[in-house]
Amino acid sequence: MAERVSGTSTLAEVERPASTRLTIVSRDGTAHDVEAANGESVMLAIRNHGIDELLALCGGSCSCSTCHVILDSDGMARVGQPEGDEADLLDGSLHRSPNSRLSCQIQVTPELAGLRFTIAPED
Amino acid sequence: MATAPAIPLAAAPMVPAHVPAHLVGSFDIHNAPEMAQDPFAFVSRLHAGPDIFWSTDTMRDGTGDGCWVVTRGELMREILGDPSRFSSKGEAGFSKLIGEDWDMIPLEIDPPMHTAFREILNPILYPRVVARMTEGVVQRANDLIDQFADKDGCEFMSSFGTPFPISIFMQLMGLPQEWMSVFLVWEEDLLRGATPARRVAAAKAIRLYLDTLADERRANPKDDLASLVVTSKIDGRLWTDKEVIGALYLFFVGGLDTVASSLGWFFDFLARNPEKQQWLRDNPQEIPHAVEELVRRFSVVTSRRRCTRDLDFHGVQMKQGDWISLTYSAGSLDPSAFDNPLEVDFHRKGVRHFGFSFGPHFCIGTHLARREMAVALRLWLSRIPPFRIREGSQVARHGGGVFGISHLELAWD
Repeated sequence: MAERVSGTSTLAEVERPASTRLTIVSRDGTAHDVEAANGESVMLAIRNHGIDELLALCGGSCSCSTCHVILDSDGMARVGQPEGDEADLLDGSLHRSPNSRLSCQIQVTPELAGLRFTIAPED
Repeated sequence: MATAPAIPLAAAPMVPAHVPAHLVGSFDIHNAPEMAQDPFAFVSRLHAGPDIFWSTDTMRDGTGDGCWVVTRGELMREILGDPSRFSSKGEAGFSKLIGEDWDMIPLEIDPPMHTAFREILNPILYPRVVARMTEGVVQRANDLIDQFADKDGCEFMSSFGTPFPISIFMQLMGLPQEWMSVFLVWEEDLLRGATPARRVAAAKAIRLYLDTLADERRANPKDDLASLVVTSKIDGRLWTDKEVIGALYLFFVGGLDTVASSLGWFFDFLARNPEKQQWLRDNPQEIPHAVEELVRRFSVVTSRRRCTRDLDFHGVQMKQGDWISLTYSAGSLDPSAFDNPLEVDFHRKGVRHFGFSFGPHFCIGTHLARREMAVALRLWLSRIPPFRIREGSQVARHGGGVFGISHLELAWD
């Protein structure tokens, strides 16, 4: 899926993908290829793909910490460290790792292409 | 959408002109006789009717107005997730009850101001703060269980269900423990007072008490929530008197009832379902997940939102100012989201319930509430033998804005 703006050749008008492919690993270890719309949150991409075990109870308000995912080190370098409320909420998880994020706070961008997000065990 | 209301009325009272007659029904969560037996079964019958209908008897704020009722989880998420169309201003309406005009903060204000207040208040209930409180929570539960562990039973609510979460909350907020019985009478009268006069009197008493508390903490701040509210700044200024009372009021009302009510339902259920009780005894490591399923099965709160403009909501014409009542158990028991929704299934996956609401007003106390519930179940089941409802006793259950249990005699051998 890509939207093409044609007709001229300026830099802004090169092919821009509308979505990015992510890999979501559910709690049973299954890897799911998910085509995620750019601009939405990784949490929504996971839920829209029908992976219901990611509860995201608060709906993306950064209040509940039930959308916890774990990345690999390369992924962490690309999405960045959690800050503020998100870091504080993650501190409460039994499954906090150095590569933990709340998926509602990560925006899907083309830079995330191919990243693996593993859904953290339930607290 | 089905066309017949869940519970048709014999004679429809006056309803606004924009409400079609076929969508008028009854959903009396305060006074329907079945609320004293099983309010959740009463709620789940809504799903046989329309997804959205106009109820003439759900709201109880003295106006006698009707309101919309939404019965499906997905519709609730849409409403709770969009404060620009569905505002929470006036949600509980306690200030209106006593002729004042402050908002309960942060519940009764919308983003963006909501976000600013929430950022100040969130840290006091963060998971790591709650984790530090765990030792005290466990101690409190053990102290209470010590009082009846060597007996053959107890009245659950007065012995444990009420004092356990409430004493912890009172300490967090900075309320004196010796006032607990007074606060509980005020809370009961405010939420379930039989007459408007009792509700007004309770609302005033709480208002006056919290004024005094705010003054005390301004003069002599301590390490508690009340002190945080009177000393912290928003936009570089101290909170106004209305903002202070609004925040203290919300914590007082929210903190004194919801976990106690929930624990009542959990223990009522476990007493009547020995096989579920035994499963938790055998699988204590599953208790945190079981708490999530129990919160789904027994989501106690009813909230509401108000339309900020005329709008079409899934084919229903709503007018600016219309209230939409959200009985969270209707979403948590929605059969389109959960198979056999009335079954407590500790193996259920994806328990995406409404027990802590949804969206920007998601329960700020969720981490403490979950921790208290898990500690209560773990310690109780490890110290008290298999328990049942005491033979010949009556469980007193009630509906209202927070479904709860006022009397629950448990017995064990």
